[in-house]
Amino acid sequence: MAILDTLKQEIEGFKHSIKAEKIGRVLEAGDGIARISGLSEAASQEILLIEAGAEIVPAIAFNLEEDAVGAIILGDPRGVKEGHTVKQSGRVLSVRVGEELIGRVVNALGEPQDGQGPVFHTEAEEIFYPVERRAPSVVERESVSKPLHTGMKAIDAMIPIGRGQRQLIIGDRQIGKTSLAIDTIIHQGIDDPAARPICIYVAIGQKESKVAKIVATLKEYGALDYTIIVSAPASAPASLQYLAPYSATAIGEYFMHQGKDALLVYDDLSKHAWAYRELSLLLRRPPGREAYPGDIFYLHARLLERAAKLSKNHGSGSLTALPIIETQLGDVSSYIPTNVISITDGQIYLEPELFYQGMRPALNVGLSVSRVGSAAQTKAMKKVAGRLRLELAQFRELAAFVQFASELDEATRKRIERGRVLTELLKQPELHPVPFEKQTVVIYAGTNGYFDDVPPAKVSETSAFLLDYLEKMHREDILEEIRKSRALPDEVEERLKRALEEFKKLENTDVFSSANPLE
Amino acid sequence: MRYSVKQYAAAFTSALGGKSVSEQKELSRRFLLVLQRHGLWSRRMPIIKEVERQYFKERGTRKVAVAAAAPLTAETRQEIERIIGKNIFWQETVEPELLAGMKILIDEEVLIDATGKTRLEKLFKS
Repeated sequence: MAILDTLKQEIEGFKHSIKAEKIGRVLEAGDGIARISGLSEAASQEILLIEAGAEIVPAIAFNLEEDAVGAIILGDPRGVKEGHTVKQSGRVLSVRVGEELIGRVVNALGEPQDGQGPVFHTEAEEIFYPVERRAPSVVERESVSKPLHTGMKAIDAMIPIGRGQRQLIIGDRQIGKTSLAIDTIIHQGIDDPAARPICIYVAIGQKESKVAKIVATLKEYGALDYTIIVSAPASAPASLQYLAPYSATAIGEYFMHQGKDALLVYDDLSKHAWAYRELSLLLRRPPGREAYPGDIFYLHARLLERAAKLSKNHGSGSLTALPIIETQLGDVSSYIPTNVISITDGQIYLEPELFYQGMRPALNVGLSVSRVGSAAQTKAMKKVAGRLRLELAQFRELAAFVQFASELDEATRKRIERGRVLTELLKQPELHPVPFEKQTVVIYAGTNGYFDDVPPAKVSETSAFLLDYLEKMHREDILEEIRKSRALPDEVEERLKRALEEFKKLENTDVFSSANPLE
Repeated sequence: MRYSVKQYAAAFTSALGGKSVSEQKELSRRFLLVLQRHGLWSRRMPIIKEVERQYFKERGTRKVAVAAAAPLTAETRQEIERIIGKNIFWQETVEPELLAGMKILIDEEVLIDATGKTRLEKLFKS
């Protein structure tokens, strides 16, 4: 009886208003797009609802033509047929945001993809953020000054990234671009827990197996506790691949507006450009260079401009973007790479030649740059890394010269040895990010000659021993001091010098010859 | 397409003006041949719809398609004429599966759905 009473109340309380609404009809549908007649008052980017039998399939008005509307279908396009009625929704596409998204894998529409049930509880507050949004204005921003440590020695020392910066990762296929991004995400779990950013990884056009592997890796390293995955794999329609980065940015903006830091990895924007090209060609937009539509620059510019460091008056939150671009045969001067290079605040260029020589990460320091620079570095790193770039540049010049010269003067020979040592020091295996205080001491040791008598093949092992030694013997008085102060004060530097001298004595007595702290 | 759908429709509608019924039939046949010659046979339906729309608009006629659960009464027709206007091109269908009420589509653009079926669907969805 209670059930009947409830049902009766619901029926009596049900209010249904009859109103006149404008409708359109599907003229043609296929390949994920539909042409719709009528709807003369449809707005650009408005959500349209296609009544495909029993199902309502959402679509977005993309092309507003004289006699029809070209729409991209967001749901299952297979049920959409000619003659189906289409209604306007009166709203633009938005995605539901909230803390509940953390640790989940969702698609471009915010729907869960990880089989763990609904993302939001029914009683949770409904907050929607528009997928397309105006970027913060000049007045709302402030300069990037807080570092975002990647855990990669080469990057944090020479191409530092700040919170609110856009730093491009560019290189050929299978060169370590995604690995670098994943290591950065993992490192956020150990860098500064109090200021840990929410990480959002957007997979655009990737293999589902790759996305699954990334999810498993992040879970293994505990990074899923602060990461959201937005997945639009290769099997997803082009419309979802096109929307995924914008939806992910909307999610990131939610956290930014809460005063928090967020990190967004777009993997990758080359495939995003392909998806947009596909949609534009299907909608018969005029093709331009390389068959891309005329607004391909705007596609990425308006996306990446939403990454910012907000001023104190606006909450001091930040959104850092790490877009990834895949080049073909190292060609950074092609269309899409040059577009994105001109938008971002710097690039990390991974070179195939260095990769095959065993330099991992295969960072080309000469072609890589961070336009924010040392403003986004801790004082400690600024102090030790200042000479690093110069010494490596000198080494690169001399390395070419030494192939022809038979006898070298002492200064040149030392410079070459130092360059080799520094190159070995900057090598780093995958999934092993290093905290900045340890990077500081290792680079200090390298640039101040403490590794000069170590054979290049042994540098990696020796630096691991050094870190292990400092961790065990000088954790509080050196490493923690650097970590807390984020600087290298003179007294700590003196202690470090003494510790390095002690270490060298121990090393010479072969104490560590049988132990490998990496195992 | 050399010309837009609206341009083809406007040209044809204007050509129809002042012609007798037999002349209009012949003109329609020739118009379809022109579309075929221009390679627009597959686009003939949108063009024909636009012709219909412009034809009605010129004459101030409203196309009203009514789908009802039961045949319309004279009073209902009068009520619709009172709201929309007297100059109506009627298309009526009876669809018992609508359960009750009616759906009115005006000029193929504006829909007023007052059927029992839609109301029940919304009730169960809410």
